[in-house]
Amino acid sequence: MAIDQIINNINLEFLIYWLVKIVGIIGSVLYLIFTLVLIKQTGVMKKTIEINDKNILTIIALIQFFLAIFLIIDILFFV
Amino acid sequence: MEEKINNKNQEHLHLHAFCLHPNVRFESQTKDEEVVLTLRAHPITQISWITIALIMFFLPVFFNIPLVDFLTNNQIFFINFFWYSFLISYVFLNILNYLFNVGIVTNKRIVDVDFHGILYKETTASSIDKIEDVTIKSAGYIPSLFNFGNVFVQTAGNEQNIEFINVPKPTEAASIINQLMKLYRHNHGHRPNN
Repeated sequence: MAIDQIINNINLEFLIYWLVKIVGIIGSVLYLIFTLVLIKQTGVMKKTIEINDKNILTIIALIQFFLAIFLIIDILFFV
Repeated sequence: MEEKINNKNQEHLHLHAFCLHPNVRFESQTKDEEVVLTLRAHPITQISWITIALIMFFLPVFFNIPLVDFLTNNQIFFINFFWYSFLISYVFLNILNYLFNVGIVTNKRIVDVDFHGILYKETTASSIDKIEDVTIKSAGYIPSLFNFGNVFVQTAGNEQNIEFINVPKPTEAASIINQLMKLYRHNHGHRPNN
């Protein structure tokens, strides 16, 4: 029954919806992992050389982490 | 040049690519070790990624037009948001690469810190007394115009040679290293290993 429904509903709009959804979820999760690595690595870099950046680099890295969270929420609930 | 080494005034040139007596510390710095010079790639060498970032910034203006026919507003918003998040990361990574790929010249050592991407880190260091030769190479129109080039520091024995790539004022950088070598020899009363 479910398979019949899927086959009947297959059209361009349906395909595009799921394509955007799946690629969006995978992309957002990968981006989230990347931002976590980025936060960690920014800390390592700042430890290697102290450049008196007033924590701006850490804040930018954290902003990217929150952007990734926002992307996941957006793709899961609003797209 | 010796005045510049002895004079402790800070001097930051070329967007912090050439800093004399900068207020920076590094991981393996010892208590009596003083940073004399830090070198980064000349800002003009960053033009390529800045151009790519600018193109990426304006690209959605063009690809949004055909997308309107296929996608909903929420989907277009998501794609654009994802695109600009990616762009922020791209710019941020390049800024990190610029800031942390640095050559450090201290009164005791020469240290080359290299980060490739965000996962690979390489630190090469050599003490001043192990330096045998400092050579510079600046070739081409753009390096000549903006006065940047490569500084090669050849070291004795098994120690790895050090390269500072595309740094501003390579002649001045080499001269400072030579002066530090002379000062070291003068203070310690011996020639560097040959």
